[in-house]
Amino acid sequence: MRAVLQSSRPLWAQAGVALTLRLFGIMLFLTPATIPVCAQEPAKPGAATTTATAATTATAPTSYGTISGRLMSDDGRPLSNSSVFLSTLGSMVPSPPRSGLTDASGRFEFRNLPSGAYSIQPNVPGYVRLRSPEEEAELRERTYYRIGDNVNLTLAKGGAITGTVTDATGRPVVALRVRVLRVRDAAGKATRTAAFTREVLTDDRGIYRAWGLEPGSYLVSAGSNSQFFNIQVPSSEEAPTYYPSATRDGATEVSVRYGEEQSGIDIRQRNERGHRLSGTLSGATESSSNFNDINVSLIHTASGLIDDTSYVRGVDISSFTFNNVADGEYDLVARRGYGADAAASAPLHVKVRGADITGLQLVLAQLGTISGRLFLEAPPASPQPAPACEEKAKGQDTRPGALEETVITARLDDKSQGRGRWTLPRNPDGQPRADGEFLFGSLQPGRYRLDARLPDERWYVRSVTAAGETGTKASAAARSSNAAARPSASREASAASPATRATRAGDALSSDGSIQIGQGTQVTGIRISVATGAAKLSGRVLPGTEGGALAPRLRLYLVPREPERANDPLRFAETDIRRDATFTLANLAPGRYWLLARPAPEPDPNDTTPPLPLAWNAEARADLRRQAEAARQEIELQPCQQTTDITLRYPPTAPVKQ
Amino acid sequence: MFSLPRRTLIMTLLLLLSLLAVSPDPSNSTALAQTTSRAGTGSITGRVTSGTEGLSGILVELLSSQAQFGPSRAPSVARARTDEDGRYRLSNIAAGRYFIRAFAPTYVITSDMAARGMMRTVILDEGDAIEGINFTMMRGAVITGRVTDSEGRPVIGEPIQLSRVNDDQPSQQVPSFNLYANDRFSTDDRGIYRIYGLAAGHYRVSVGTAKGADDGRVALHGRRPYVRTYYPSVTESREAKIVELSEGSEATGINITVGSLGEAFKADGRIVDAESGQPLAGMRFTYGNTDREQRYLAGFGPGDRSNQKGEFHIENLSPGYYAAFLIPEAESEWYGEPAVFEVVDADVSGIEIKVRRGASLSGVAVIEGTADRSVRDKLRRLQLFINMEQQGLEVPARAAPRIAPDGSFHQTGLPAGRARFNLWPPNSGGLSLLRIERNGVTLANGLELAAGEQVTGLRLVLVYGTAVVRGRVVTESGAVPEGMRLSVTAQRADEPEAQRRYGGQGVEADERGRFLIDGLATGEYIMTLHAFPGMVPGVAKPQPMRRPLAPVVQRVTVTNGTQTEVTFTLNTQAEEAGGER
Repeated sequence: MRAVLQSSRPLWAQAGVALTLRLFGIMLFLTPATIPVCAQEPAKPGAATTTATAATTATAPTSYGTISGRLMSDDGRPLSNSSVFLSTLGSMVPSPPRSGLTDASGRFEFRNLPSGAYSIQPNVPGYVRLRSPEEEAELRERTYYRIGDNVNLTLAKGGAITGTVTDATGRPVVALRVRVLRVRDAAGKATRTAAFTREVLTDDRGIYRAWGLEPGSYLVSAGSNSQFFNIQVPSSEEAPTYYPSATRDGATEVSVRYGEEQSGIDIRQRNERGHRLSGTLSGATESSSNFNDINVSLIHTASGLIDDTSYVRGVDISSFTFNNVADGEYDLVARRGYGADAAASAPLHVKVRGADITGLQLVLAQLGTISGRLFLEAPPASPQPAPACEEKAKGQDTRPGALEETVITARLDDKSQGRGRWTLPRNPDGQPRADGEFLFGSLQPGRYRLDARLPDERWYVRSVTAAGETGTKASAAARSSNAAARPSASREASAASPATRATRAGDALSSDGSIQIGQGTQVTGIRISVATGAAKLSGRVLPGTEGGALAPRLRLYLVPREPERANDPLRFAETDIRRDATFTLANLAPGRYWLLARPAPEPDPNDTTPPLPLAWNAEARADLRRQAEAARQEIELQPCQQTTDITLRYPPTAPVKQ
Repeated sequence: MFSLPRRTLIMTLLLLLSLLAVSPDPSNSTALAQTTSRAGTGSITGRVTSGTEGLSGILVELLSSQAQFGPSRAPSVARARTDEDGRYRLSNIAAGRYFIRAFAPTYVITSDMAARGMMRTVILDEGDAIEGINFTMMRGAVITGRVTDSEGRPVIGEPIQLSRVNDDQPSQQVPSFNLYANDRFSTDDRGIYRIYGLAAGHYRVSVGTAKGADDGRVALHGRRPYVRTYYPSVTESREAKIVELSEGSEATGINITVGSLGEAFKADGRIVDAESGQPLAGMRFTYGNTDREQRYLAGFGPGDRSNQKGEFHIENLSPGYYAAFLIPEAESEWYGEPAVFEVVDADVSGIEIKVRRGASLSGVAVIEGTADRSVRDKLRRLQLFINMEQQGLEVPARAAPRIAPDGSFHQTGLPAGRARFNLWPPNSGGLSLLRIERNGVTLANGLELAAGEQVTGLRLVLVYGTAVVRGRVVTESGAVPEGMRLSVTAQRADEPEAQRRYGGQGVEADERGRFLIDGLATGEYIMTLHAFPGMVPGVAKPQPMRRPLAPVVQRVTVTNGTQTEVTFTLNTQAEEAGGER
């Protein structure tokens, strides 16, 4: 601790009269919203994290409880005295992440947690989560926990990459930044997040060592401009050199597995001068919050990875510069603020060919928001279902879900977005308040759908609608009582940005549930209606002929039979069929369906986001219904029904003659 | 060096760290383009040597001195590498004030302020050809070894502590020129550490935390610390084997096997309304180490919120003094009295953070003497800080209200005490704080706030300055003595006496005695020269601080848009009279 504190003490702490006197004794806390995010996707995107606030807001959590768990190493040893972070999405009332410590048997416990959706991050130096390839694939969606959960995590020693950096004359280079950037996961699928990027310095012998690496493939470059702060080391004088002695296009990927060390990853600098890109910022550059930093990202076009970030701050925030940029194609995106206050520029495509580029212009525009309310419908008064539903639920988790345990994702319903879009979260997760109010900020223009991951198997999403006139008023009133939203909202109004447009849900919401966001559109009054009485089904797929082999990579679709549901994406469901040929679908609306198994679409290895449900596309819906009707695997789901023994054949055998 | 109170230094440090923590590398920042776009005609030459030998290939960098960056984050303005003979040349430099450094991380710089953790200033006039900005260095030494646990497994990510054992002083921290690589101070995935660029001398190497209150540390996001273990795996500092490093040497195999984990205890408490005694749920709080006198905080974590019963629980506290306190949140009206407690050898309970409605301040910031819209626009981007001088333990405040486009500001949740106002960055774009008025009356010494007082109608009067003072320091014998450190402050003559030590602008003079202050507004200033006898160049050993010379004061009147020349004559005899060797 002492050495760490000492070593990070800035030189200028004692440098001048002005600094020491003027800053006499001042300390302050920075709100989470002011912390620039090093990852390409912000750690907590989406929901209204504009201002921290006392939790004395209108809505108290539904309940309090405990999340406990255990950290083990892959060789069966408990990981003791290790820290575990617990963070919440914190839609309206952000909380600081909690940190816990494991005991001698590797156990940890977070008590007195308000109900909500939590993510858990073990922090064991040198170790990473052990994930099966299937889990790795599912990583694209974050895992959340709720109170009462017991979380057992297995960790394994991470990989290491080490080597020596020499200059063009063969001399070792001391204190040079080396960036180790994961470009593919262990399954070989492209990644587009900086979460697994490491930056290390070469030592006095020119040796670097990056350790604790997630399995996967990495690009190793020497002399990178830092995405991360490292205050004392001069920036490089030349364009980065990639392992072994290449430009980016000629770089050799280095792959590591759990516990594996790749040594001899030596880099010889190419001594190639980089170029300077500079330009100006205009448009919605002013923030309504205290810290007005704008960051400009330099995105390598072909990979979509951020190569460098320029932080523009201070009193004169009108221009930006990148130094030592290698020849190549890039996209520049400027971004500022979080939540409802966020703004960004459209990507600007630049080709660097042997010369500096000046006079680039980035115009920031306000980003969009979607707000509304998730609510639980009162159970129908007359018919049968409710008691049976309760009984069945008792077998597993007796505690009913709470609205604030729902994770809502605002998913961009468009895979063909232009270049440079990756700096903005494409699929921000949000958590509603206990009263169901939710707000997504930082939305780039595009078509969105709200996906709700429900905390209770008895629930299903019945509809996504626009609030009626009364509904709009009600939700507006609820929002104005929310201390978190108030300050930013009023400032927003006083800033009177012409780019900001308030839009009623009815004008943005289309009949199939998608929401159109234009530049700075602020959509209010979206109602996500959740009903009880959901059904669940599980089963297995058998080969169509006895003794035959099952086709690999199958996907199961649930297709509504009622013609009036044919265009309601909420009534469609789909899931991968697991390697053991089993499948499970939950949170299903009662009704009449067809089941359809068919080969899963071939995944795009360069696509880093979860596949979009087929049913979001009108043509695909029609196609699914045609095929499902032909396959004639019919099923009727009663309210609360739990069917575990479905057997399906693929390819389908001839339907029974009627 | 100034004899600032320790807590002030620590708090300042914490602020700076918090700013730095959110400040990625600024090397691509805007000022670079601005500075270099007006290429000048000045040049700087010098030599980098070790012993009698010139060092080749060393990077020498000229850095912007703009206050908004701070020296350690300043963008590079010009750079050069030394030739075979150790010589460098920086050219095409515009007139101005800069910092200069030689980046040679495997060496120990012995020639300049860097050895004291300070930047070296250079003032350049248009067309100046400054010669002899030399750097002398000694080859640094290396300590390397491995840290393992009792079962022989590597201890990963464990911070290494080096303390220097000195003949003059019993124990001293490692000099701060080893700043640039934090990770060098921790073990890697094999348990191996390697620390280089160390000055020759005697060192004690240890990991873990000592038992006893003065060394109590909050395990911020961290693990429970090990009981402090010195090389070679002993827990008593007197049994530690001293590692002797000569210039350029490498001490290998400095291995440590850690002992047991230190003791850890729990603390329970509540957050209550001071008036009614009712528990308050959902209040955000944190805790940190404090000293025996309970005057300052030495670190704190992100904290947590009280539960539905207003309770909080803190775990993994090693013995020591602590303070639990409320984290003031934006727009919150609450203020919490810090609760100080000591952990000795058992769990602690019954801690209470008492919360009451805080005082508030509101008003408007105005710029005097200009109607220029571009100047007014700068106002919005300034950060106002309100610093509360309090009785007892000072805890962090979130008193950083935003200045709205119309100049208004509002801050709630303040404790009782004396409020002082500061702008960040200081003297940004020529704007500085001239005076503070309450109901038309200028406040002579900050604003005294009573508990819960709601003050409105404040006026922060800023001025816009474009005047420049160019100065030089001479002595009776002519040149400034080698190693002498000079700093000059400029304070408005019309500023109230009591306020003066909180305001003003200060700069370092370069070793030729030149200094440059810009962004001053029209008016009369009291300029004060502080001179500190420096270190003896070429000695890597830490040198004791010496008392400063008698300050030299003179009054100077400046006018916006003009440049004023000032000369200070320093009486070096005062060094003999008041100094101590």
